[in-house]
Amino acid sequence: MPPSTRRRDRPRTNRQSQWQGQRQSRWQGWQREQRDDLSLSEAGHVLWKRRALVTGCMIFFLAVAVFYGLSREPVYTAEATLSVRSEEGIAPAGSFDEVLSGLRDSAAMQEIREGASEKAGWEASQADFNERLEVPEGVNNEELKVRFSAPTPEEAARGANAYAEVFVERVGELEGRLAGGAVAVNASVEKAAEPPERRSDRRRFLIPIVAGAGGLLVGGVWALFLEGRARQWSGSRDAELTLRAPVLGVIPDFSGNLASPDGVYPDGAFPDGASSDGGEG
Amino acid sequence: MNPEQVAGDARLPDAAGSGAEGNLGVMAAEGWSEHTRLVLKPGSEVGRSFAALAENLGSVGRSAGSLVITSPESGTGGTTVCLGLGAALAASGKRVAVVDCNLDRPHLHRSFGRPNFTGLTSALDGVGGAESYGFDVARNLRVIPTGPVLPGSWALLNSPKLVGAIRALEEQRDVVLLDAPVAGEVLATPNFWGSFNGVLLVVHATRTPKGVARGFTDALLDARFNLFGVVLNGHV
Repeated sequence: MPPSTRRRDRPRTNRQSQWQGQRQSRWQGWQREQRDDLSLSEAGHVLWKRRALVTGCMIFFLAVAVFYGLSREPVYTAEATLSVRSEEGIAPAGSFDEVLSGLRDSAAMQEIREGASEKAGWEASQADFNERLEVPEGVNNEELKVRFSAPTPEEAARGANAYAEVFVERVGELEGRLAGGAVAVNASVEKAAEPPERRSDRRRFLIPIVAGAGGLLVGGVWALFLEGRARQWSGSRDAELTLRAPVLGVIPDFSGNLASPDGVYPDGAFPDGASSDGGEG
Repeated sequence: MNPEQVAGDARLPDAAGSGAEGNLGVMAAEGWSEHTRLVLKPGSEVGRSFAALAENLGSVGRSAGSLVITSPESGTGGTTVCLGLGAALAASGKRVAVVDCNLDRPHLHRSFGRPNFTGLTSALDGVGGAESYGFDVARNLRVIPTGPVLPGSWALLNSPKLVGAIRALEEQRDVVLLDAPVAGEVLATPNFWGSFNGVLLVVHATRTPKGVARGFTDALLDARFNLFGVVLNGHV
């Protein structure tokens, strides 16, 4: 049963009722406020007080992010544009689709990729080459944009162009094989890839920002945790913000003013159970 | 020592600083701990701090009636605050009584090197009010120890008889400062805390964990205590 309910149950004297009424009227705003949540001023006070910890956490996270960013290879992405068109009037109906389905075949796609890797002089694995290559899933009667990402602008352009060229060659081969050479599909490199001037890994700026914010958050949570366990009160402002109650007095530590007949009492060794700074009771 | 033994304007002995400028009318201080002497010395820095506390209480209209002084943990200096505040209020002309309500761990009498033969519990059993079982330590300042206690005596804190004894004391004194046990025990005695004007919470500047102090402040307010405010003791 909450204490307030218990109090209602017991009889009150007249005097008690009188001052209970006075008490209600004297109830201060700070006594009525919602106290469950951390107030902004309290959080600000704690963060400012432990700013060294919060800043340290943020710097650490930032340093890790910057180190990670620097240790990663740069990424340049080059783009080549292919054109795949049916030559209308010459090709029999459905023959263009036949060529396209031949290109969509996974074995054919892999063949093109392997050819491109070889042509570009890619020294790393084929899987690595495939990962860096971006080709749209479907091939239709439109433009086809091929992107290739590499650590240097030249390698990126070389990879994209190699794929485009092998693709065109492959279309030519299919054209000759299908329908006795009667299929006419015009595939060409419309725009060859140029070595890009700028890096394409924009996330390298995002990572330190996210890391900094994460460091701030971790440092803040840590600061609040430590503050809850701290036993050192820096003054009345600290006490007021922590307890959200008015501090009516600050009594200094006067242990230095107390002396035994032989000199200063050692801490905690006062007669009569008194502690060095008035810690009786 | 009874009120007739008041020496009036007696100065503090050398141990507390000779030639003390304080003119509280401190009684002969034989047997007092040095700590107590210093707290009751009004001219000292600590005396000025207690005077400021008394002034602040007065400025918010809380320097009359009965005041429960408690703390989140033991060892925060609640007794010191009771004595210092009592001395400051007494110096301003108010008639003050400091009552030791630590029925489990009485210690107010030790500060004055006195036995605990009579006190608050004597008033519950015997004749006469609590006032008559105390002793004056300065002009207008009377100290009432717990008196004889038994294990489990702290349950008396919740008894209407004890509340009545303190109420009777209020008739004779302008201010009654109740040196109460820790807040956890006070919370368990609603009859006690619900009967007086308000509560002052003492926290120690180097010992009280902030989380614990905050938890008790919240608990006191949740229980609808009239918490006047906080005293930060032992500030370095």
